[in-house]
Amino acid sequence: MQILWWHWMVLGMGLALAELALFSFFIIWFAVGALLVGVALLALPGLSFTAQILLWTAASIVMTVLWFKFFRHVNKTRSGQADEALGEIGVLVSAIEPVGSASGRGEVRFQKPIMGAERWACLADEPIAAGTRVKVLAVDGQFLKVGKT
Amino acid sequence: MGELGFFVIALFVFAAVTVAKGVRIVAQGEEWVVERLGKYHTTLLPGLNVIIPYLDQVRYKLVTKDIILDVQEQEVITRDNAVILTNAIAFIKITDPVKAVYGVTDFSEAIRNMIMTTLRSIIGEMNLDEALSNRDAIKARLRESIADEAIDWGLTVKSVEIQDIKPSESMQRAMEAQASAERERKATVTRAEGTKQSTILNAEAQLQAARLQAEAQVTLATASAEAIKRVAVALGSDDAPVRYLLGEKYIQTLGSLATSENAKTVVLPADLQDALRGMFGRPRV
Repeated sequence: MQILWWHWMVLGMGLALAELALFSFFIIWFAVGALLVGVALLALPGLSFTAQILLWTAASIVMTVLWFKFFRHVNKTRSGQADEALGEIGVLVSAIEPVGSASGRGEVRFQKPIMGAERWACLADEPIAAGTRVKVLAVDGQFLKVGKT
Repeated sequence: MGELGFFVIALFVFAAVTVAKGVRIVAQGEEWVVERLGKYHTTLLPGLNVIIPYLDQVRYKLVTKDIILDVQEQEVITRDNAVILTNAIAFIKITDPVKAVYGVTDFSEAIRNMIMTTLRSIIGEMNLDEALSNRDAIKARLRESIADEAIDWGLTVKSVEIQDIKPSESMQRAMEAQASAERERKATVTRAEGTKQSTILNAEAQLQAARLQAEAQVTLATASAEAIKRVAVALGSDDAPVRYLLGEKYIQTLGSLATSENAKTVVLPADLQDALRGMFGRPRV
């Protein structure tokens, strides 16, 4: 059975449809690879079947790797995620003491309300004086873990 | 070729299923907890993620947007034994997906019950009037009380809003009765106050009038005395003109008596004795 250029084209379209059904953004590269092989067969009809398969595999893998390496878009927003408050800058209004008789917790205040409140009780691994600018490192229930910026 | 075709199809299906299970796209606003062979392995963030299909399993899909929890209406008894109905709404957020799924069986049910019991205990320490008018204090205490549990469940309670605090049916009736009785009392008191005020004013008016009348009488008497004094001074020691004047008046009066319509009586002169005495020539005593 002779493989013709449009066989590759049909395979490519089939894979693209499979991508739509599965929606993984992974199969699409194999589909594009198959379409490329179809175009190559149109240009060079004498290509052997092994070469075709090799070309398809190589093109698909190169495109997938390129996608994952360079073209993955950065996060545009963290809104709605668990870590959306991380990295916010605030000012300590009461100092974080080393834990002794008192709890050692301080209080941090933000310019704009974070998660529904301007003031939050906060903890840190080290004592920090009042008036210092601090950054949110983690959210622990009703407490924020902060560190020096 | 036929056997090879079968193999190719099998390979294709295998590859497709593997890829579909291994490449997971997580939507914004969600985080998925992945277990590897039954133990926690990783949390998938929004976007494209790759897991190993035969080892890893997506166990929980969590919504990390703010969750709106409706806390149903419940009856609460205040410190002064009044029954009130209250319900609340809470806004919570999962800030630690791992704790939220492994720290508690059902975090939303847990936090809802937490809010209900805490609300009961907070209002139970207040009097009815306090509870009805101190929503902000209740809210603040509610947030503080929930904080300790929320930390183990990976939740952050953004706010708890008391939606409704209302007295129960019978309580409401009693309160209305109390309010209307109070108004009734005020009306009665006001009426009594008015009566009292008007009585006092009347008495004062009478007093003032009597005072003025007395003063007028005194003035009149003083004036009469003055007039008599002046007449006496004008007359001096001679009493003949006085007699004449008196006699004239006397006769005039007799005349007017006689002309009156119902005069069927004979009027004797009042000084009959004197007249007789004059006739018998007796000297005056």
